[in-house]
Amino acid sequence: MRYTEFGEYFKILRIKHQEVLMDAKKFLGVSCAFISSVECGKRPIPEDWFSKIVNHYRLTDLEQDELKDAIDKSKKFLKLDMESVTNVQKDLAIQFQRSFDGLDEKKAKEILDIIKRNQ
Amino acid sequence: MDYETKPIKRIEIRAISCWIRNLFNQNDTLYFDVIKVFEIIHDYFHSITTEVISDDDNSILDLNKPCACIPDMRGGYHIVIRESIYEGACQGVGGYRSHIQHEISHSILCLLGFVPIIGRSYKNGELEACRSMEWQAKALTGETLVPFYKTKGMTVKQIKESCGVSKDCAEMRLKIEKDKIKKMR
Repeated sequence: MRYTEFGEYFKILRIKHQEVLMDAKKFLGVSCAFISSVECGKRPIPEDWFSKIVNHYRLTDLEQDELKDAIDKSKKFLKLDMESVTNVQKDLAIQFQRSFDGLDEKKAKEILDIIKRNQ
Repeated sequence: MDYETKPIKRIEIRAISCWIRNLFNQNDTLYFDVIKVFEIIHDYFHSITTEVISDDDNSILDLNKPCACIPDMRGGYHIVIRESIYEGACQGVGGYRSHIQHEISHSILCLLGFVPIIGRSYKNGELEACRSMEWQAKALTGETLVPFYKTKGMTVKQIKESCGVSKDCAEMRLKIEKDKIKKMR
C-alpha cells in the first residue's frame, strides 16, 4: 500500500503540529476512516479540505503551495471547465486529452516547458 | 491462526521493546503512546503503512476481525485498524491500545526477519511459544506497553493505571515475574 502525495504531506503536517488522525477528525468534520481512505487514495480529496487545512495549521504561502501541489498530484481525474473558453482553447484541451496516453516523457516535458514559459 | 518463525527468547524480545521505546522517544514515560506511534511509524519505517477503516468495511478485513497487519507484494506491511478500536484507543481503553500495538509489533518483528518459515498455518497454541509469530507479537506488545524493569514492585492496579493496559495485561506482567523467580529457585 502507498499513501498519495496528499496523504504523505498531511501526515507530516500532523506530526509537525503534534496532532493525530483524531484531531484532524475534529477540524475536518468527517470520520477517521474517511480521512484515512483519502490519504490512501481510495476516495477523492474533498474540495473544502484545502482551506480547512490552511486555516487550521496557519500555513505559510510556501506551505500552501506545497499542499496544493500534493493535492493536484494525488488526483486520479482532472475536470476542465469548457463553458467559457475560446474554440482554440477547446481544441487544445480535446487534442491534449486524445494524445495524452501516447505522450512519451520527452514530448511531455517539451509541452510542460512551453506552458511554464507562458505562465 | 498462527505461523512458525525463527525462535526468539523473551529476554531478547524485551531488548527489542527497549529499542522501540527509545526509537519513538517514549523512554521517559510508563504510558506508551500507541496512537502517536501509529501516526508516525511510516516516517521511521517507510515500508509500514497504516489505515483506519470503518467498522462495516469488509473490503480488506473480515467483519469479525478488529485489526490486522497485511503483508504486501513489495515487502511492506499495511496495518489496518477498525475505527471503533482506533477511537477507543484514543480514549485510553487498554484492550484497544493492545490491539493496535499488537499489529505494530507484528510489522516490526517481520521487518527484523521474524517472518513465516514455511507456508502452512497452525492453530493457536499448537506451536512452541518462542517459534510462534502470535506469541512473539503478544510478548513484544506486553513488554512495550509494560516495561519490565520500570514496573518492578508495582501492583496490578498501578500497572493498569500508569501503563494504560487491561487488567489481564497487568496480571500477565506479574505472572512473568513470578515465573522468573520460580525458575531461579
